[in-house]
Amino acid sequence: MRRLLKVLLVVLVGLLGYGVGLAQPHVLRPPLVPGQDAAGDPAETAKVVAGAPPGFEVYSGDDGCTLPLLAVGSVALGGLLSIGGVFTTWLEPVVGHTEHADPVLPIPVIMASTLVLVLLGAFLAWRQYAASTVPEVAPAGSALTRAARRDLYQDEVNDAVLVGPGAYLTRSLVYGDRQVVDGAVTGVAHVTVGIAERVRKLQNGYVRSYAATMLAGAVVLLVVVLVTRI
Amino acid sequence: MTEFPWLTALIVLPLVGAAVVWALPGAARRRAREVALGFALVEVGLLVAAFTQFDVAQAWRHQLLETRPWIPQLGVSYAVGVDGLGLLLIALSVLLVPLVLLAAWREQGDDHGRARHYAALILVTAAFMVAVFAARDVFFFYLLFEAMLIPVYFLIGSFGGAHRRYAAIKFLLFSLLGGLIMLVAVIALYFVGPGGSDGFLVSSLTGLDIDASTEKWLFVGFFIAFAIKAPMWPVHTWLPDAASAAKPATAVLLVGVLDKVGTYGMIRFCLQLFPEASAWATPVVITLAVISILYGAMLAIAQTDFMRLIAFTSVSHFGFIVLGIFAMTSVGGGGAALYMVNHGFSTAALFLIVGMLIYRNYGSQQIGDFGGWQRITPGVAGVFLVACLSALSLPGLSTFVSEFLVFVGTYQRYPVAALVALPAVVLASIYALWMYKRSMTGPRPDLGRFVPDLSLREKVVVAPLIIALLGLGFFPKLALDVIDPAVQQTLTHVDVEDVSAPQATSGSER
Repeated sequence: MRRLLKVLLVVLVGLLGYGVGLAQPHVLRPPLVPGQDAAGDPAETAKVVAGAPPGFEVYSGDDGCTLPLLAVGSVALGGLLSIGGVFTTWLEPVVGHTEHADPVLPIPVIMASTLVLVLLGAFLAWRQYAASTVPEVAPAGSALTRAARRDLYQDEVNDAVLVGPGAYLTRSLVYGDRQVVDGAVTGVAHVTVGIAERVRKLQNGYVRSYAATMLAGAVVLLVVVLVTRI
Repeated sequence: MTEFPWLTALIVLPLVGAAVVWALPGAARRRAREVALGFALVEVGLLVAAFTQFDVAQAWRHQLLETRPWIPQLGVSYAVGVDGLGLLLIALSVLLVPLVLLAAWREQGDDHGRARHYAALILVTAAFMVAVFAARDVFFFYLLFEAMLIPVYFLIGSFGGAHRRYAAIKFLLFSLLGGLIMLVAVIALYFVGPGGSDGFLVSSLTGLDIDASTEKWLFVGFFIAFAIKAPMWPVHTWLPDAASAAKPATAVLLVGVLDKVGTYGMIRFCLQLFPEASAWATPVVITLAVISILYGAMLAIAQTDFMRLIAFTSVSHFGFIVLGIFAMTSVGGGGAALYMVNHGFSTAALFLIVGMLIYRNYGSQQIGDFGGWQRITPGVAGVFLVACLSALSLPGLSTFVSEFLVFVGTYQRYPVAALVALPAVVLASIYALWMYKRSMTGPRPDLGRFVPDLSLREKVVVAPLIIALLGLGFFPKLALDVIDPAVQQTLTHVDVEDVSAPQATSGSER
């Protein structure tokens, strides 16, 4: 029963394409070919399949409301807009007016080939998914499939190229900021303290030392005065 | 003077308030915070009244002028006046003070003595902040530049958290070193100018014909002081230590207002008094600004302490401001000036909201001690998200407008600099969103105690900031109408071949 519903889904989507084509005979529009699988969104299905543990029922979708939604949303809309030919002009306030192109192929050919492709797609979908059994374990798939399951490795690439080196760079800069940039300042502070410690030793409290420095200072002053006067 | 001295009143009122708070008799000392808040709100009212006296159509002209001789022997006058930019910065300071007082309400707990001193020091800081943006005499500006360090030193050193004494001394020494170099330049400037008893007035010193090498030395003297204040790389290391040691309320005034004195000085003094030297120094300054932008952002990403992270984001944002100023285009200058105002609100929001988080987590400032807090305090998380988004300059918030204008204005003259600085937008997103992610998202932590969400007091603190961020984000015209004429007036002094001269007129027809 579920498989039948899936096939019906495909046909309905195809009917949307047909409905649109029917409402718009003078505009060349690409036929809406049904997707490769029955759920309508291959990427989502692939993700679910990839993440599904063994034995998980892949077909536990909400088919019950998907069909009505699709029916209301897309088929009904296509039908609604086909009333009175509104479909040709309803987007013109946004995209502007365009002249209709002449159809490349005759109209019946377009309609017939659309329907043929719809049926072909439905058949392919049925054969791929409805007719064969669902494997217990997700098949290994090709390299492309594996890459698709891992988002084309974009997380690994990002981590290797941006996140890892970026974290290393920012942490190195923090270290450099503290050691080098701030280090220059604290280095000056340490040197100042060191000089002060050494100069402090001149103040040893003995009167004889102070008398000696005063004598030395007086001698230097005398010499300078004599030299500059000469 | 037949008119009411608005600016003097704005300066004196917080000083009177501080004196009253300190002089409160014994029984009334429990109400010190209320008294201080009252004075702060009266100050806001006074500001609104002063605003009505300001002619916005002539925002390029200094208004509300008061000039009186003070020390004629030294050529010092008491001169105050504001143009559009000065008025907006004063408005920023005055509006933040009551919010800061409200936010710090519980910081000293039940110690009413300490709370009294804290409130009084905040009011003294407020007075100096208004005065420094209003000063029209170079010596008076220098005095205030140094004097405003004193209350902040005590605010950090006495009332701060871990390593407060180291941080306070470091902050003081860095700023005093800059001030010392600036003092030499200030004195030399007097002798270069016309001299006399009003020789220090900015109006007497504008448009002088100074010998080229002298002008360069004077410019360097002033610029070093302002670069340390701003702060710019490589003299920025005092800010993260000071911001992490200070209480969040103090950090708001420190980073949100006092650092603006540096960039305000660059516009008012470096560009206006030494235009040729400014043009000569521009390549070096632009390089340092771009380095500050990227360096601050990258270091912010790697921080584990909330307050240090916000401090480094400020280093990055001030790089943008300096970049916009020295691009010497009216768009860039207007963007930089607007950035000063917007950054004040954005940083205030960040610090105050982080303060609320820290208060709820036993004073821990480490981001790692939080996690999943949006499930515990959704209100705080919500406003924190808005603040983080303002830090990364999300369109719709005020900081986007100013950052965009800075980029456009810089690109007009220095496209390489603008392009090299552009990755900072991505880096800002990383540090802001990652900070939010690490602390707010994730599984609900098992704290074992009840943590209250935003109280009424905290909502009153945060609401004006969010309104300012959103309001100026959607209607930047409110601020730009006042700033742009002032910036353009300053740029007329700069004799640089204005590459954006045709765009200036189209830009002003916004």
